[in-house]
Amino acid sequence: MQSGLVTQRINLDNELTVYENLDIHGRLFHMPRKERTKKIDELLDYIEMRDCKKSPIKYLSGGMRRRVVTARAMMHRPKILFLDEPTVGLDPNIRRKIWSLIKKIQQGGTTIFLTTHYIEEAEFLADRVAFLNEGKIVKIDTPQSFMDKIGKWALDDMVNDNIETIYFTNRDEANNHIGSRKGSFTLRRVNLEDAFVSLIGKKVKDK
Amino acid sequence: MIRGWFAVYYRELLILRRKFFRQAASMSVAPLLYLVAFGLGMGRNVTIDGHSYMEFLVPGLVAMTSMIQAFAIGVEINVARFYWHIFDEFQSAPIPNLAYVLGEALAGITRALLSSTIILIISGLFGIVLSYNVFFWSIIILNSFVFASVAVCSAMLVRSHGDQALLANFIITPMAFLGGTFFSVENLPFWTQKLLNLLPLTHASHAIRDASYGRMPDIFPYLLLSGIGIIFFIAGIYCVSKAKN
Repeated sequence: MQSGLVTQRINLDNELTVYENLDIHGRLFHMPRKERTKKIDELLDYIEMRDCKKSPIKYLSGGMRRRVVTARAMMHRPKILFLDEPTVGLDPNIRRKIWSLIKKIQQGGTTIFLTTHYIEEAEFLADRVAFLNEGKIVKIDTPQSFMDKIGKWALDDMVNDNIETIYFTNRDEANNHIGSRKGSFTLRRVNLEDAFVSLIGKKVKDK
Repeated sequence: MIRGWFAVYYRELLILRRKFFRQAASMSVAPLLYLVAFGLGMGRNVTIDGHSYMEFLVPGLVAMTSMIQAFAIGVEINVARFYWHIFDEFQSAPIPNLAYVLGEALAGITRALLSSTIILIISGLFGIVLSYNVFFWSIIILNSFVFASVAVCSAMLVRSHGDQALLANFIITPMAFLGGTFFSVENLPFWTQKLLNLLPLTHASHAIRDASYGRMPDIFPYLLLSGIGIIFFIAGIYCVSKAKN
């Protein structure tokens, strides 16, 4: 079974155009010419960059390059796609575009292994999440199960410039806790980052 | 077994095409200077082996430039490897190491043939037209095969782009000047001749010169360059697998 790989560093040929980069990948994976041409057009539509077909990579923005490198990994129709930190260093708008692209690929039936330091990215994109510590998987579950384990609501309490977060199963409990106490509180829904900090954070050594 | 070589070669051709005018201009500068300085300047009244110094110099320049340009494929590989990280792409592709080395070596040979053609055009402008027959072109191909294969090996072994330049300074530059390019090795002391005969470029220069004078070159340079080329080509395959690991 063939897999596709998108490394953290964008490894495109800067001197070559978007089309040429995709074409060479297709050649390296022994795709016939007709199939290559068809797939390139399909992928350029997919990443909404048909207008940039003949643009040299060196003139593209970071987000566009990231989309091209992801499309390139899809050229040979892999069943599994490995994405290593696909949105690192990108601004929030571009990050969301990349997320949409990843969702689209996922909905197309490709299994995606994605590594990320952005936990909200894992929460948004992943069906299953594995938390790693010192190179080893320490917990593996669905994002929802992770969050359910700690509660539904999180109350951030500012204490001496530190945030202390307390988790509650319902909103009323959280409101009762606040009661007549003075201070700065933020009540919000629990997210995957809370689950990570609560379940794993204690094990992560502060280096 | 060699499936995928064309993709590697084609990529190098595209890059060469994109930078064609820059490359052609840079390939022309050094030969032009040598022709003017040594050919027209110092060697105006010099005759070697019954030929004018310009006629002696042009085949030597072809040998030297084909070596330098074939070796320069190592720079392209390094740029792709260390700056653009394209080597990761080759690593993940289902192509054998043999195909990769073949593609890069052919790209080196292509650069060498292009630079040799440029020299012949420039020397034609100086009124030097020699015999550019099949023996002439085949020894250029073998000479560039040797140095393109050496370049693949070195590009896989070095740890930075600077190391590759260092290697060129220590191996290619001395060979360019001592390999029978600018003077006849036969005029040197016996021990020096023996020493310089160890250099593949000396044999390439002789054979290219013989062919361009319309003489039938010895078979020995062809066999020698083929042998050295094959050894480095195989070493290149090994170096690529080492670099992948």
